[in-house]
Amino acid sequence: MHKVSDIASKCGQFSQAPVQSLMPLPAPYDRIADLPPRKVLNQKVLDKIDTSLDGFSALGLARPQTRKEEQKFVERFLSGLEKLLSKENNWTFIEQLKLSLEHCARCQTCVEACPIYTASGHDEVYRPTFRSEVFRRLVNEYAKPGGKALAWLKGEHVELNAATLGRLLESAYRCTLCRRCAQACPMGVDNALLTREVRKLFSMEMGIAPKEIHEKGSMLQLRTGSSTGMNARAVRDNVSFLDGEIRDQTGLRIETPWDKEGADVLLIHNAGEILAWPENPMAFAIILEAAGISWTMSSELAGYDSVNYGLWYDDAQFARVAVRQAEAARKLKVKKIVLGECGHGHKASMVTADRILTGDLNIPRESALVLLRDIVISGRLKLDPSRNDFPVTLHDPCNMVRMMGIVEPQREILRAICPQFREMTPHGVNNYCCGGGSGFAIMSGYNFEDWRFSVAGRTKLKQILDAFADCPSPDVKKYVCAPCSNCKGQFRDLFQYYGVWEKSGILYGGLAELIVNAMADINQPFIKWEFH
Amino acid sequence: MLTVMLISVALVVFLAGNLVRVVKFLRMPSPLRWELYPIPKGPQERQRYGGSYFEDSDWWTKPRASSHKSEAVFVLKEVFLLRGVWENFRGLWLWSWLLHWGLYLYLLITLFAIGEALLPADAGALVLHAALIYGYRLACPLGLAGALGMLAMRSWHPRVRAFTTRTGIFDLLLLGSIFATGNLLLTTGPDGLHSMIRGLARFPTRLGNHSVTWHLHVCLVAFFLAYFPFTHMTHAYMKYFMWHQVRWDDSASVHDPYAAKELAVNLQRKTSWAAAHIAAGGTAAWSEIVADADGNGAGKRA
Amino acid sequence: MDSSQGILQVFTWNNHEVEVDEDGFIQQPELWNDQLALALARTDGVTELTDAHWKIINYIRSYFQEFEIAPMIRKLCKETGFSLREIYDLFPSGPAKGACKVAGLPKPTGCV
Ligand code: SF4
Ligand code: SF4
Repeated sequence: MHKVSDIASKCGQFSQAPVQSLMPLPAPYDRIADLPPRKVLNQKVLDKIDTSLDGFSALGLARPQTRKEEQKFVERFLSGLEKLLSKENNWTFIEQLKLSLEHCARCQTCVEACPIYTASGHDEVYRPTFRSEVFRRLVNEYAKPGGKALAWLKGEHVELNAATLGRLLESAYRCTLCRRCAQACPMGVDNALLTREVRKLFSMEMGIAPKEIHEKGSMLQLRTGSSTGMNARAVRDNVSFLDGEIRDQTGLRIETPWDKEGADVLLIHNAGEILAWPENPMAFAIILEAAGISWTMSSELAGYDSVNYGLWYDDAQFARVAVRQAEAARKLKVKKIVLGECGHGHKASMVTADRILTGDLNIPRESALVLLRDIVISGRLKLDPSRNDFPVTLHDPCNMVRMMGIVEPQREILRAICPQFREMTPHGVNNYCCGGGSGFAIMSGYNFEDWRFSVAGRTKLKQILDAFADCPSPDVKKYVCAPCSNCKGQFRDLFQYYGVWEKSGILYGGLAELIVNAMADINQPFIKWEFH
Repeated sequence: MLTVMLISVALVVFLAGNLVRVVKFLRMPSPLRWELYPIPKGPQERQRYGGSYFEDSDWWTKPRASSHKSEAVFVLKEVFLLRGVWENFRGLWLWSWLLHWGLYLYLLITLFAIGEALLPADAGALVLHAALIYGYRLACPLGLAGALGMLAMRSWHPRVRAFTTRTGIFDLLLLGSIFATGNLLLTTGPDGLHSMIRGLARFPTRLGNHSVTWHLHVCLVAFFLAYFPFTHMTHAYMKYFMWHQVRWDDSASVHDPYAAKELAVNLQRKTSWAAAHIAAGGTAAWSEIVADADGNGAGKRA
Repeated sequence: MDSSQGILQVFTWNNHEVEVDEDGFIQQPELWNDQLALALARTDGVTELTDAHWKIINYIRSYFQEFEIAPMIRKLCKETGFSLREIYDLFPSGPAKGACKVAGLPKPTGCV
């Protein structure tokens, strides 16, 4: 068994993360031998990057090559640690940080709640308390007066070297911030919060973060308006193409309104929807027009992309994006912002940014699920549930459900329009994360995807298969409703990895698509049963 | 005499230490929201599945329902039944419950005993007196059993063993020996522990002859009191912050007249985060950091 | 160490060198030419670039020049007349990781 202090070990891999220990999946996914082989990194890459946690790499962190570089790395970490613990630099989260650092009883009540730890077959490196405990000990030993002496006395010494830091950093990207463990903790300690603080320290002090969420994510969004790199011209071009697609597919003539001042609703999608799942923004346009809602989209910088990756790793990036989005809405003098099917965008804007957006930036923000529920229940659309007569289950995006309490609106809709709707177990606020949370769904560097699918997404896959256990045949087409772009990205890649479409006939998609699919006035089925 | 001084000093440290901790957290800048559902607020119907006011359309125009009753029920279940441990770690529950109840009873009976000692003796006091003695007879064995069980769990159970620390063992040994000496006192004197409290509560300048066990017990309690404020055991009351101010704090800034003021103060704070996209080696106010559109480093380079 | 994450590799073709990221997307778009496109296609097991390939590559490149981003897949299909399946047949790694890579575009970003 590993000791916490082994994190500093200079040689070898902390965990081998063996495939044999993984939690078993139901047939036909039960044969380990059928798994796609893990990607083998070439030696040149392995020599340069740190994979000493579990053989995987999310960041491709360069190992310090000399003693001097290592010393510098440690020094910068320590100066970051000091800032993390100061009100001036971390007024945003210092209270929660200190509460969680100082009140853990190390009772391990929380650990079985973690879908990653259990899916791995209880690999100690993924235990929710493991990284927290390492971090806590580093804080106690290196950031408090008398810390060194106390650490020796208490037997809690952890050596601070490049190995410790490399592993701590990577381990902060083995947790999806789903906060299931926090729910289980009787003290109210939040291991996910601690994970996020570790990520923050590395990003805000040293500029170290996965490039997909920083350099090609929030930085790109601030520069071009969207983390997809779509500038205002590109997004308008794409959406007008989609207007044409709606016409071709349904015969409806819709022109998506742009920058309409004084509209009731400013709809902000996750811009990734427009590029990768265009049927979702199309469905929204159809529904809003059919229901006679006064709505608009914005072509202002950040006004057409609800993502805010800073939520996962960096408070400065977080605040910048949140403020830009609110400014776009203020300019249009809309009554409210409605957030499309994007979980983290919901939480970022409606919850976490709440105390950053005061005064005239505090434009009311509402969930699209609520608006859709009102439309469906009001009877304004002619809906024919028999068009959705296939098995449907619902995925609860952690950010909308566990962290915002938006549980019932999506269910009210499904109960009204999907005769074969069934719940997963557990669901609602106790759901399991899709395994793509906190940025993982868009992270694919090195061999990270192997981990994302074989470990992080495992529990969810099992849950989905279990929900459809009564109709496993690939001939029965089934639908996982996932009202969140990130979750959809994870499902797409996860299903592809295991061949779920071929073996089980399970498709995934959003909520709005199901509504349009049930609209009696539209001739063809809106949902296309092709995997994409 | 020394023993009496010790416990007096310990009491002062206990009160001051806890006060400092509470004040430290009260003075923290008000943090960003980070709530976690289910939250025991709002209509019962919603609480059943953990729903929130975000489920209402135009939620900002609706009145906010808070239900202190639900919160109280939740807290009571947590405190007296250890609901969280019951649901998530059944194997630990019994021992933890015994230990907690040992502590609760010990504390409660001690408070009563002090009260009783200060009151003039009459017939009513006699009844109370008897109740107190039985109270201690219950508290000490419960606590001892809990501490021993927890020690066993900590040392052998695979789920916790690797995360057992020296302090973890020390804390349990300390609590265990308090309850053990308490048990001994119950067997030695006519009304052991109770007369100890009586003796102490009257602040005697001269104590009668007391057994070694008596002194030992008082010293252990004194040590525990002085040690407590510096440990995670303060979770006993710090939970207030963790639950009410973090997990359950869903108060929206539209309804909070102070939110804008607090934000203004926070935006004036200076930050020196060194990454290139923040202060880049210098310092800058948070307002400048947020305004820096390209994320090119708002810090004034030194 | 600010940009330490993300190790670039060198891709060699016909005695030329170009930097690529770990998914094989070239980092120096100015070095792109027909031969490099073919060499990149070979890494995905495509041995020659037919007119059909070029139709797709050219569309992607011209769209990128105008909008600084890869075209959406639906649009790509519609404008070139190929179905998604056909695109996969031509570029086994798919439109984003295959066709865009061969066309010398940067790797797609954001929630896509
Ligand atoms: S986080 Fe909570 S449940 Fe987990 S070990 Fe710490 S106190 Fe126990
Ligand atoms: S937040 Fe979720 S993934 Fe992270 S440790 Fe807790 S339960 Fe596991």
